[in-house]
Amino acid sequence: MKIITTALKDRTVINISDIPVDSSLGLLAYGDIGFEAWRKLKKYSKTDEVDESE
Amino acid sequence: MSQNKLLLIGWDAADWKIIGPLLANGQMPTLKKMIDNGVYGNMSTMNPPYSPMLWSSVATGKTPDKHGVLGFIEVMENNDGVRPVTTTSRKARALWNIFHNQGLKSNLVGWWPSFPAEPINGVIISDKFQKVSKDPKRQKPMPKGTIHPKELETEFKDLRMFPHEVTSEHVLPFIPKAIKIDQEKDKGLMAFAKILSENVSVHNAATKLLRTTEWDFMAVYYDLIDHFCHSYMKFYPPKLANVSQEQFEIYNEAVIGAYRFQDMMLERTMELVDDDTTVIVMSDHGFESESKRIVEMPKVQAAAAMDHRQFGMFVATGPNIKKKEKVYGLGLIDIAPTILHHFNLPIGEDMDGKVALDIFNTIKEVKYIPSWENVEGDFAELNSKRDMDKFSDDETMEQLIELGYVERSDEKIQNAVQKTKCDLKHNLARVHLGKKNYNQAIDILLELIQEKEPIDITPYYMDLVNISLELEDFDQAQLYLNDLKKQKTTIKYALFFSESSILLGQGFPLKALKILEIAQSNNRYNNPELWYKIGTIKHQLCNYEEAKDAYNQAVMIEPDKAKYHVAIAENMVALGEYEEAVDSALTSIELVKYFSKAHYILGTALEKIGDFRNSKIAFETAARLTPKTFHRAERAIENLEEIIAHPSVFKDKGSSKYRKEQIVVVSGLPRSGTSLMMQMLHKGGLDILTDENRKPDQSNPKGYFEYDPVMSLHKDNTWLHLAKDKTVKVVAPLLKFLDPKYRYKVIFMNRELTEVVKSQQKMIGRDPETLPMKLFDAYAKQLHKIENWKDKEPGVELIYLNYKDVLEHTKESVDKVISFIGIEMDKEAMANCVDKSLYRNKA
Repeated sequence: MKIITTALKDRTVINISDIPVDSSLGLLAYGDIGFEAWRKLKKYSKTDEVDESE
Repeated sequence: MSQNKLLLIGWDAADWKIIGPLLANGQMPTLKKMIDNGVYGNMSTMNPPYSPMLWSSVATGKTPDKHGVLGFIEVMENNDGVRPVTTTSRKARALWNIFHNQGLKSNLVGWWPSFPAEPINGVIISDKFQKVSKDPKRQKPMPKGTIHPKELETEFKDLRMFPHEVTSEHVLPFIPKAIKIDQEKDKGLMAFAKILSENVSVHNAATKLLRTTEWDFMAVYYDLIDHFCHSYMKFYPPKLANVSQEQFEIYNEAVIGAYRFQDMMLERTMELVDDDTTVIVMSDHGFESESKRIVEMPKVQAAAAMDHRQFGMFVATGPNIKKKEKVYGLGLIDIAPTILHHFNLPIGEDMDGKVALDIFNTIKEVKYIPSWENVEGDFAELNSKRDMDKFSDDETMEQLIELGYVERSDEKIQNAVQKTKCDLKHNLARVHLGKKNYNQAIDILLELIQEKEPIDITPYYMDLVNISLELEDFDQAQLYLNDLKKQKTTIKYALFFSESSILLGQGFPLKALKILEIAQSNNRYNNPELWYKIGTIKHQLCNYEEAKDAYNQAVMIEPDKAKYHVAIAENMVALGEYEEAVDSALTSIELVKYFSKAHYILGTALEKIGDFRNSKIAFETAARLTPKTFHRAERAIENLEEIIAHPSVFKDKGSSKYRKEQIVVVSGLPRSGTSLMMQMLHKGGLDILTDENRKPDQSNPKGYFEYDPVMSLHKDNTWLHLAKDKTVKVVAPLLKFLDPKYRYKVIFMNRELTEVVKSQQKMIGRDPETLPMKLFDAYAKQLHKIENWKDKEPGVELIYLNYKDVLEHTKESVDKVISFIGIEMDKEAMANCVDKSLYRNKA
């Protein structure tokens, strides 16, 4: 089994250039900061959109 | 000791059986680090093991009959329909309500149930937060009450991950061969995406709160492991026979993946708390991962929970937590009292749990109040009618249905409402059953069996059968079982267990055994419980070698079941293999430390080996664990104290010591001189317990000295206190029903078996020269059983007295009896009772 761990310890902001556009489990495990950075990256990359009509 | 922050992390269904190998292989490094720096142990669950009920017990320290959360779903106001269970079902105050009242700040994420969020001092991200639609185009706004305080909704809503956002990078570590999945036929990936995204949403909210808020208590609940196990445990190695090779190869790493990902999330969580924080990771139950896995669930309510195992896991670290120690005897009901104690707050006396003092380095005095429910003030509770809008939650219901927790609702709303009401009442009955409140459980079940179509009432009958068995009312159990068989049902019950238990209780062990052996030969899979029951009956029948084989089969299938090892130990004692008995008893204790019977059998085996001091410790432990009921252990301790103090006094289960309030029992096979002995003791000066209902006759011209209640001793032995310091006659087969709480001096009248049978033949008007061999064999077996019973019962001293010796060597016999009873008696009067003319049936 391959689980990618990402060395992000102690960081409060993640540079989107540090993360892959398809994300990773390590990034998800990192929690809100990693997730928000990934969403931002996706937005820039326009690879995906969340359709939430609120 | 000042209070520090406490973080409680719930891993639904996490199980040491999976965690153990992962720790050994370095695949759960964060949990390993916690264990190395803290305490760990089993976490005992409650019945029925349904997660919303269990996590509510974790939060309240109370059983579901008190906290009110009784299932996965609840009936909506005005009986409009059913929906996933909400906070409004909970009737007891949770930890966060108490902390709010006490000025402490709590954060809560994903707790089941926590919607609608209560207005506490702190933040609640309720269990509604992570529930989004699988279809990206059908997303609805978060319902009111999803997050408290409401102002945080905007900040947190974008932390929710949606199933369609899951990428191959997320999937492949769990399912490396995902490319092979035909997604038209196999919806496994869709379930995966939903479970993963929901847990990531919870984790995102938790990490944000950990980073950005001040708190005293925080609790986070993940259902990742539970939901992965329900979806993929059937593919976990070793491969089950009825799982296809293709499916096995695709999904066999999914469960391991869930545990490893959970550990990765824990790593991040631990980075966000300081060393002064106490952290608890626990599960509410385990999950079957071996031969007992169920591939096709039966259609009963909450069938999926049949995969839940009795023991979950517990790990804790913190400044006042012991290091590298295993702790025993923890139950999830203990968590709330333990956390209150951590914060120097009193425990409600109406809580069912206790403070787990064993986990702490420095132990503070535990404080109590009668109940937190009666404390006046602001507890941030919801008024269910005022604070909750009507809502439907089809997506969550759909997920519960997919996981097997909830049956697909009937199209008719009223039927769904009726079924849900019945399920909730049934769960309440089962809670009472688990607490041994049998009368409350029976009342509810008797109401439920009045239900009509479409309700299947057989589960209620099944519980009534089981309660009757617990109460040893075997005739009533039979009646309920007969009624059950008359009902229409699609459920396939293994009724042979109940049938054999009833027969056994009614005194037909051979018939009971036959039913189980037929079931065993018909069974496609090896069922350890079946082997165990077979072993138990064989043990009772004194077929110890065959019992050993059966128990070994049970242990081979399920090696970590403590009761199987205890059964082996008890059987080894009967076989005279005492060292092996010690080994098995110790194995059992290793599995469940606070298992009183295991300590008792250990004590018995050690006593036989001659290790009296350790034997005494084992008996003392057994007695301490069940102080109100374990009279055998108390008697055994008294015996050992005598052996240790005066090694020569105690021989052959008979001493000359008078035991306070001892009961002298005269027993023996029929026609072996028991009435003569009763007469001798009476004349010698002992009080006799008799009602004189049976009058003297030609067979016993001087009387029988019987007492009618003796004949129903197997049903009712509560009258035995009347026999204290008296003498009572008890026929041999009923000796085993004597209450172990008393001390007995048993004079067992012996007579050459041929003489016994001849005398009895004559008494019932048959030819005394024709010996029925069956009767002869039965008596021989009976005598053998008496030997075993005498050895097993520490409260029993027993001497054999031969009828012929009493007649021919009266003086010696009288001396032996008086010495055994331990008090002064009238020897001459006793000897004068002997009338040799009555000795008429010599062999």
